[in-house]
Amino acid sequence: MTAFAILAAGGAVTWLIRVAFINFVPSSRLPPIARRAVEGVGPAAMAALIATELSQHVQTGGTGEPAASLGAAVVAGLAAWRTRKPALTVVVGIIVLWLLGAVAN
Amino acid sequence: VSARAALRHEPFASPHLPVVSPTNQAERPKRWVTGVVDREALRDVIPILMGIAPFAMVIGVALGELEISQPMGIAASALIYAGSAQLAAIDLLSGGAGLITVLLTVAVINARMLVYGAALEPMFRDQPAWFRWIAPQFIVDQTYALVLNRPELAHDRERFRRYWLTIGGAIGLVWLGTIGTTLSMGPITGPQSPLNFAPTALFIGMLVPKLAERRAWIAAAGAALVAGLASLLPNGIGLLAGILAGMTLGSFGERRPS
Repeated sequence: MTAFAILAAGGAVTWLIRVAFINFVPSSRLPPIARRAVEGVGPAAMAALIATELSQHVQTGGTGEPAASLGAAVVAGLAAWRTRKPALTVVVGIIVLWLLGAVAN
Repeated sequence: VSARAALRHEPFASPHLPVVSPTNQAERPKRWVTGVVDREALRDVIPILMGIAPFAMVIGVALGELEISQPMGIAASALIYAGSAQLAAIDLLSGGAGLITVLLTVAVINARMLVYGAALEPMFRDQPAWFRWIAPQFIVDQTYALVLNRPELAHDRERFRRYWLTIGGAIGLVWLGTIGTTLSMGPITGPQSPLNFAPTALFIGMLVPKLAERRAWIAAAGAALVAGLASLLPNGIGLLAGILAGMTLGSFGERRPS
């Protein structure tokens, strides 16, 4: 199965989620416990993705020196804490990783 | 841009906006250009557009790594139309994950849209069928946050339709346009390029501001621990396990007194 087909299938699933309580099920049917659980998915998903990607970087050297990836992640975290701007965090993370990689080499 | 971040923008809370209802049509804000675009909506959405463009660039870079063609990349992005889930799906596909793992991960990450759909349902009720089936595709964190800040829309079906299509259309245009432009540059990262770090840094930038809440902290710590330990499992199962563990722990965390 091609990447496009799988992403398109993901689109179909997402569309079903979007319209579920608009066209299929009365919105009052969403129980409070489910509401609480799905509202908490954001931080869980972000943290799991960060851990998975960092783990892959460290294992495969996908972004150069493993220690550089971890260092860049820490500095990016500090930048995010101070600025609360995701775009700026990306720029800081990439620059720090590049600098640490250059120092290591 | 999170829903909460979107809500922080001052222009969205204009105290001068008249309360619009079917009974005070004379006070309705003037239509702009063709009668389809809502000027208030356009003013609301502009700050959002500046925030989503960098995220779209990261998606474009990641899609380039999949070596997907530009039209296919744009089409896939339009269909899934959810940044975090798409980035996770691309990440899983890059690691060789299969259909089921990708779909489950996308479903779990986008489950919050169940809540958004339930909250927006009164505004979609009694709308034309085409709108009820097609327009929910525009449900994302940003559109949900903008509409939450416009409670007067609940009283005017036509105004909501125009507002929704304006903010959804503008976000879609910038989102897909930026992804397409980035994809047109071709693969711009090498195997050890620092640019490969962009998705990780973006997720850090989105997560860290949320960690001030105790429940978010517990969910994130649990998810990171499980996903990290299980990252050696094949087919992206570790990622899915981490998200589910974090969700569960986050739910428990809310019940305890802080």
